[in-house]
Amino acid sequence: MLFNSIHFLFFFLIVTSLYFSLPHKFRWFLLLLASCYFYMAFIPVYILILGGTIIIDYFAGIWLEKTNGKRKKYFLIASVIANVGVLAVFKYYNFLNENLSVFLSSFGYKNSIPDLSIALPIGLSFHTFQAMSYTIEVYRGNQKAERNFGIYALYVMFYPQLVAGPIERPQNMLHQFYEKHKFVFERVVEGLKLILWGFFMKLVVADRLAIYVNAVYNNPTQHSGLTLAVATVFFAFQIYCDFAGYSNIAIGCAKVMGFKLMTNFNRPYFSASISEFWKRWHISLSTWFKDYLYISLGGNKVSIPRWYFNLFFVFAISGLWHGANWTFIIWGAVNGFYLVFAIVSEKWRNKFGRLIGLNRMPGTNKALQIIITFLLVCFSWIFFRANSVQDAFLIVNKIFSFSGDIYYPNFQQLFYSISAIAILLLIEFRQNYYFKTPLPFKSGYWISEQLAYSALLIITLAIGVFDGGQFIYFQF
Amino acid sequence: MRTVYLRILIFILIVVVGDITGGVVCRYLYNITNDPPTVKLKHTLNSTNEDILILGNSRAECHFVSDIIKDSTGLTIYNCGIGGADFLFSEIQLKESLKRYRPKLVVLEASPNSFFLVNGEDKLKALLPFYKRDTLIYNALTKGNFFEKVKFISSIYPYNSTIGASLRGVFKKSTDTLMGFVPAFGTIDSVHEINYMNHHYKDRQINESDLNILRRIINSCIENKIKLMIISTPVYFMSSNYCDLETKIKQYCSAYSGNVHFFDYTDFKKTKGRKDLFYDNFHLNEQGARVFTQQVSGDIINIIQD
Repeated sequence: MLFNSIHFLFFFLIVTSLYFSLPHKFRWFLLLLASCYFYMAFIPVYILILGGTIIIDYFAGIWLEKTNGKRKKYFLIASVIANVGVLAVFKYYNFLNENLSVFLSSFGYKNSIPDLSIALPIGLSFHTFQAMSYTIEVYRGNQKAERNFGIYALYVMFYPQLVAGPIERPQNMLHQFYEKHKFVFERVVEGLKLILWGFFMKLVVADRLAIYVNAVYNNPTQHSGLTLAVATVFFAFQIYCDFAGYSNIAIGCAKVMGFKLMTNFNRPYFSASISEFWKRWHISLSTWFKDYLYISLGGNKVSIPRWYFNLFFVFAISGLWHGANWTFIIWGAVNGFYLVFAIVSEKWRNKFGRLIGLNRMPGTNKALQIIITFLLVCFSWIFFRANSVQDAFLIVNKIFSFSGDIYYPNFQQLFYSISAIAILLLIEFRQNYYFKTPLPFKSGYWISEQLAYSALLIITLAIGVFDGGQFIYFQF
Repeated sequence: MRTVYLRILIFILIVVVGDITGGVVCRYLYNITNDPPTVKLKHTLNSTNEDILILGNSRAECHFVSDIIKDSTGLTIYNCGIGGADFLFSEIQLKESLKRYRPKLVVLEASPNSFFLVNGEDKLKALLPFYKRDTLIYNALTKGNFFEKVKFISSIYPYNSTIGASLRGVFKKSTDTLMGFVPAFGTIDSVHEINYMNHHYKDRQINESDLNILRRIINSCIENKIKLMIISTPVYFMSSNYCDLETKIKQYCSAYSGNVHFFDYTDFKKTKGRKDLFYDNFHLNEQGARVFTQQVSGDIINIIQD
């Protein structure tokens, strides 16, 4: 079931109404049932896979708490292998097999292992990582093992964040299922406002830009460098609004029922450096990698070359997390390179800034940093969006040739696309520099706020794209 | 609690009033706009009265030069072809015209690529402002899905994505002087097109539901005693599977007799291998369209005089 469908609106209304009508002790069961229904709306049989990993991790949690020493470590390893194993089979098997074929063929051998023809369970990487964070936290002693199987299953399956995050931590979520949430009007309204903002981001911005981006990126040979550059900038906003839109809807839905999910995006395109960008983009995943991989590798408390390697490696793995394709790995590696380069070059960049007098103009300096960061991020998005590595390099090559006319399918598309980006930037600028809230509007006057939200709804109805476009991150 | 209810009520009221007002404004702009595609669509659904109607997708739109047919036959003509329109779209256009009058001749462009339109369903959304007009339109848009029907509660939704074109067209003068014909300018990049044909048409099969719609169009013309020409227009390069599909369509249409005539110009001699006459693999350019229409005009005269 897609968030951007009327089906979901009905589902949400029914589940929320029942949630507040039922006594507290039955609520978790309702949410679990609703989450199962939500998940089974995609490919019903895959709930068995999810169920399997839930059972493994539930018992792993209990055993991890009971045991000590080496046995404890073995239980953790077994649990991680079970989770990563599911990912490996469904997500990476064919990719590994293809690469093995290429490797063997270069030595004149033929790979006789067949590919698997299975669909990827929706949101697999998200709920697997959420489940892994539970066992790791129990292993580290930061979280008590959950004894109620239903509550644990709900922690993994909670429908607002089941298929595309935010990837929650057990310390933040599990206790919330035991708390009694009352119907608080202000909180419900705030949740609904967030949902509306999410729909605007998805339907008006992301799905509109997708029309141009898909047309260009699916035929890169047919388009000029200038067109590819425009499509890349559009993709930067498309992917942001697609994913942040989803996150806002998820956080909003949870908030209506009284649950607090972690912030996943914090206006990342206003970042003044790549490192700041990664503190604002897909925060739940970035912190996951930081907490469970980067720090486990030693983080920055190691030799300098090892620190650089840690950064680079974590980002390359984060690329692989996104998809079984070299394009994603390169995307991750490019970002890893940016971070290492930023550290290495910090001194001479500051020196250069002083030399040309940028330090005396903090406003201009900041604006320049934001623009440069945005352009660097856009460059990395080429690898993320391109259909193949060859396409990505062709696009890079064409863009840097600075030539050609701009593809202009029709006035309407361009008008809606640019208007959507302009509205988004205007609202985010105010959010970022004035009222620092995830909500798009904040005013001292109640009526002006209502007018603004009504306008947002009407704009969505008037120029939103209602073709039921899939969320990009569902495929991960 | 009273304040809460009052606030909810006020918000709903603002949204409803905003939606109705927006809907009225959009409808007004849609009705007065001179945006060419909108003008054409409105004409094909609201006011066609011509002797000859040409139906189909962009291949109909770009291939039949209305002026040439008008001059050679002495009959009035309108090219109703719309880029991306599938057979269902053409059926709706024909049905709406039949509510007003019976044209003397209907020319339907039907070639293999009409069965594999990438954006056929999306194009149907252009009919959103007319959703109340006919159950065929309503069903085409909602497909019987309850959740799709709910969207029509909104007054502004039927005008979704029309406001840009409507606004732009308000400041334009009406310029539909080509009677629906939309020329394509430029010449083909043959290497890319040949690769595309070999790849895109490999293992394709004609869909039974599209054939059913084609059957309904044919039957509609037979019942209303309208002469029907089904024409497969030229392509630059044909892959072997494209030829097979073409043969199937030909066999299917040839089963009808009387007022139904099939013409296969896929491999038309005067345009064959002429890069200078093609815009891309499926579309003749303006010059090519003239060459082709000269030929077709003769056939039209023969059919009409028959």
